[in-house]
Amino acid sequence: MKTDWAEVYRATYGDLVRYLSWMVMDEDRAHDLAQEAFTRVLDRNAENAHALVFKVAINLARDDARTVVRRKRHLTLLRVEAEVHADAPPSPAEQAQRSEEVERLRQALDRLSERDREVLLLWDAGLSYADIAEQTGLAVGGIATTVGRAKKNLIEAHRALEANDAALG
Amino acid sequence: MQHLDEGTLQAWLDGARSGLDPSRLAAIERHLAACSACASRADVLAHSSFRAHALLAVGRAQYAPRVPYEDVAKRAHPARKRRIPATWAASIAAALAVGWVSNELYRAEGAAVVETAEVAAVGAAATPTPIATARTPLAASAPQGVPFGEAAGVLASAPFADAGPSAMDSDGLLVRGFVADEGGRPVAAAQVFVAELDVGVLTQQDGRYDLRLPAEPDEFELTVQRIGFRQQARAISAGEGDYVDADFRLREEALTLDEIVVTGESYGTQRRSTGNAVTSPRATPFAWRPLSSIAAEGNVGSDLWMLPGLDLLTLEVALGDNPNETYVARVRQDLGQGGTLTLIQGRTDQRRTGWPIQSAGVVQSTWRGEMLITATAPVSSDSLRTLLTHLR
Repeated sequence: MKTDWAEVYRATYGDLVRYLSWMVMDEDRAHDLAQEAFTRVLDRNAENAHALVFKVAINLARDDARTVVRRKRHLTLLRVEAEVHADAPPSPAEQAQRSEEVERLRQALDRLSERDREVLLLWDAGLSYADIAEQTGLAVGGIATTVGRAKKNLIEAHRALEANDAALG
Repeated sequence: MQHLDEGTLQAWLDGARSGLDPSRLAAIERHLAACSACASRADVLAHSSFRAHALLAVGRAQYAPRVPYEDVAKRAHPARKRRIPATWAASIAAALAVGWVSNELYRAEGAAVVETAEVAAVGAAATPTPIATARTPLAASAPQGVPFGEAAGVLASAPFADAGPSAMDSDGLLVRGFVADEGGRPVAAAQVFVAELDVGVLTQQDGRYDLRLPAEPDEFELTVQRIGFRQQARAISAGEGDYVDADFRLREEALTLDEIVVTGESYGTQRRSTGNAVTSPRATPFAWRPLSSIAAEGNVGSDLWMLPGLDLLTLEVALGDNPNETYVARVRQDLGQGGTLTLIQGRTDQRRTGWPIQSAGVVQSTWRGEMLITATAPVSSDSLRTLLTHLR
């Protein structure tokens, strides 16, 4: 059966960019990588198209990370795209608050182990346990436990950072 | 009754994607219906899943594809791409409220296209600053790599550009140095120039610069400026040697940004011999949509033009009514301190003469050739001057 890539694109794109945007901490880059990933898989037939495009994108992001970190480190990480709010751009105060939130999340994610972080982000992006296992090299049987632990740690780290920021005023 | 472990509950919450088969899922469900302890643990887990998803959505818009699927498919299976020779001799002219500055445009390929750019500006509450520098030719010729000034052959030395310095005059003077901020961090894309000679360069990413000057005069004032920093000047005496070291440490300065919008419109009034009627400007505005640089370059049919040293903020392409006909790209770059520069560039189709990019035509640069670039930059009056030196 021929893969309906148009449908996969529609259904997967948002998840993929969300995942990538946390991986590379750069929304524009995430969009670029997602598009690039799709162009690389479109002539293939895949039983699990969703997983395939993630796989390609993750590899792109990993290759990319090394160079991008150097090349774009000064690029603002916390830029909030105005595309959704094109008509009414967020006020500077709203933007600042959102940037603060994103930064807090980034820090919370940083407190997770690399493996937990990756599993959590892939889980957040809607991948199946089998696909997460394949991407991360973990056993399928351990994914549920890892997801449970990772999200708990994320929430706790975030809460701690929030309390800390509140204490600092 | 044995309770379910967390992993099992999590897998159940994640349903089919956990890979648990339906009979197992059903068994778990039966257990949860009977065991309130497990059910409440499942509730906690469900809540944490919800919370984690919500956290990871922070600051993340719902990501809609920036390009339609068809465009991605086209890139994956490219048809033969019709590329118009890139004449990146693009030009931009702008000035403060001083009125007119005449300007020359050059084509990178050497076929001289000399037009007059009509320049004016509005909206600036600022004191008019004479833009003496704007008389120099503008040549933005990235792909061909023609160093600024070379196409024109009039400049004493390569002005602001990140192209490598041109061959040094045997009796010239080399000024070399490092520009840093107060913390010692390199300041990239700062302008280092000698106003009286109308010669300057931009610092590289590492804050270094090489500026070659003609032998005379022996003494001159070297100025460094960058948006967001206080301008600095220093008297340099060439002395005996042919080499001077001049490092700068810039102090940050907050800018009050008065908004100045420089917009442009191309007037491709040069009709081809086959031309019939002159088309009227578009009635409907372009719809901008974000795009990756690769795709945008594909649409514009050439490399995109950006100012060196400035961070890229967004990149969008406007597709006209007929996507085969109209390509305009909009590149937004960060000028620092809240200032942004928008470069609008496109390929004029021979059937099209007007480009109502912005409603108020503040700058009108007459254009002949395939490419057009216009700029919009909410900047202070000082920054506009900086912008202009960037643009030339």
